[in-house]
Amino acid sequence: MSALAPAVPHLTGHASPRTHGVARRVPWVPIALTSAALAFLALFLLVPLAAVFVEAFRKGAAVYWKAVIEPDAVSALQLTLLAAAIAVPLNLVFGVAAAWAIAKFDFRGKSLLITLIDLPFSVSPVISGLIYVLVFGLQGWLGPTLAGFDTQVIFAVPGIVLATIFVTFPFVARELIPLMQAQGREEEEAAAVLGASGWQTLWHVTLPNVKWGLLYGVILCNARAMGEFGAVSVVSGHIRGLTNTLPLHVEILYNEYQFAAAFACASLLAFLALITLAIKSAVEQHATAA
Amino acid sequence: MTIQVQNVTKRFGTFEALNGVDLEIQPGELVALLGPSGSGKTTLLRVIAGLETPDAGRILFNGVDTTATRVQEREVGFVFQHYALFRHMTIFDNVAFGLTVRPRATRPSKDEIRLRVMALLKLVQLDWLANRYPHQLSGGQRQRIALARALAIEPKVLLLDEPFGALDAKVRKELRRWLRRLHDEINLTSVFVTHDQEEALEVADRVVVFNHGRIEQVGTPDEVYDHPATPFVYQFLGSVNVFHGRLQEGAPAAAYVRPHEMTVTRAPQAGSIAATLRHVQRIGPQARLELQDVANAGTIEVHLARDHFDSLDASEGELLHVTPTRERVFRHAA
Repeated sequence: MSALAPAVPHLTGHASPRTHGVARRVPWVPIALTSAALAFLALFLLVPLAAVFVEAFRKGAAVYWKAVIEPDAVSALQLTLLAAAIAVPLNLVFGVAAAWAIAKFDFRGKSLLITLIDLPFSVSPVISGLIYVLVFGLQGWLGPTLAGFDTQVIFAVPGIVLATIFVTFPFVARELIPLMQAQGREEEEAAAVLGASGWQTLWHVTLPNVKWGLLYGVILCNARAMGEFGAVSVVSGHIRGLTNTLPLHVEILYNEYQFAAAFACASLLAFLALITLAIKSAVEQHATAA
Repeated sequence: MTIQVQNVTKRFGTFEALNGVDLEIQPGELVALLGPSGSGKTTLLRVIAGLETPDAGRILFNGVDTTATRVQEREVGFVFQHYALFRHMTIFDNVAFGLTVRPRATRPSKDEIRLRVMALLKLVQLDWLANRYPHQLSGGQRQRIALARALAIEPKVLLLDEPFGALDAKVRKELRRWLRRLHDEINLTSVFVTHDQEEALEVADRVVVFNHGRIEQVGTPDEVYDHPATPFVYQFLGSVNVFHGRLQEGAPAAAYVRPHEMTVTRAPQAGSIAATLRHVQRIGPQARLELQDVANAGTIEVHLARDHFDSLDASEGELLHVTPTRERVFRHAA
């Protein structure tokens, strides 16, 4: 060290003009990229979001409030929350089961299962809705049989729930599979050798290791479940107060030129999305801190 | 406990990991499964543990067929190569896991579990780490915790997969001596997998040498080192010179000679080989000579005592004569 010490000031003194030159040079590339990204965000995300709230309050708070507490709007909000409340827990269970099977076990048809899980992502939501109409509709395969039991799926609440489940199918599984595969099987094997049953291993070893990824998947799943339009639109039938979800309600109001009311209901959806985003970033922060 | 492996075969797709393996392990023995990677040693360990099902053959514990017994019921302790500690649990909970997951009827009380876990942590000399998490520990500490966790269920047999593979050289040496002492203390039938011949020879009572899914030789460290049964064992355990030639009846064969089992002289001897000294490396009390066979230009490695070499007073480039003091001849496989 003592031999190096006198050399250090000499070295820095020598190098300083050059380092200054580098520091003075404006870092154009990062600045350009960052501003491009921010401008894009502002144009395509912030402006529309602001527009939703501005338009919603254009005719004053009274009109906004009236549009929100109107019975059809309340029923649409209830149906949206109901569909999400059924679809999200079901896809949570399904997603964990599928991810566990795919990441921790070897079996025939595994790649087929992975492809099937991705299917809702690759198929247009309108087509997914149409499939349900073809299967459960009155002219469909199972429609007449179900009608015999006095059960209606299409143009009724069950259809909306089914379509929502289908569209939000992949979120939890897709989030968990890479995470579980990266973690490997050794901890599960260790648990098995120590005498733990499959359930004990799942509860005490696997799930605690993926809890943040799981929560993240559930949040994304929920966001999509509340916002889904295409598939639900096909199976809903748009019966006001009965089979309208919030996104469908917004569309109807807009088509009837009730812009303020349409934006008021849209602001509800935007608000739900913002809450979801806030929870998501809180989860992410916690996950990176843990 | 006696472990019997009978004619076990295991394939992964087209790869034959184990090909008709027979092995018997005596109670209280510490056995090393030694071989290059892909030779089947880890697969055999996993088959014994019940983590893999053999395609054919049987595993017997104390004479009882356990081939179909589930891994949870085999009562084996298994130490994984990368330890596989539960990352979200404290060290205490890791070691206690095997006891806390027992059904209520056989589960010890909370106080009893605490006593047993702390006793095990003391045994591995890490009781002060009970409340830490695995990622806060060094590799050597994790290794010992993995061992304590495996011992917590009072296994009938202890299986270790490359137990020292992920550690640096110094910790590895300390830990393997410690493992040997621990084994002598608790006297549990133990099997460990390694690709490091020095580790196997130093720690084990018996060494099982694997190659291509088959056992090449089983024996004490001295037996496998001094009397290798096959050319593979000769080459895998330490360095060796190979001299190709023909037997008297004309069959092609090769003589295997360890570098330290040769003498070097200035004058030709009966059966000596003429070779040019190419390079000398003096390492402590030893001189390592690299010579070139005059007849076929092959390289011969000889290890001599330093003073023996000094008394030769040879320098690089000189012609010397090498005589094997001990050799083993293997016929070439037809």
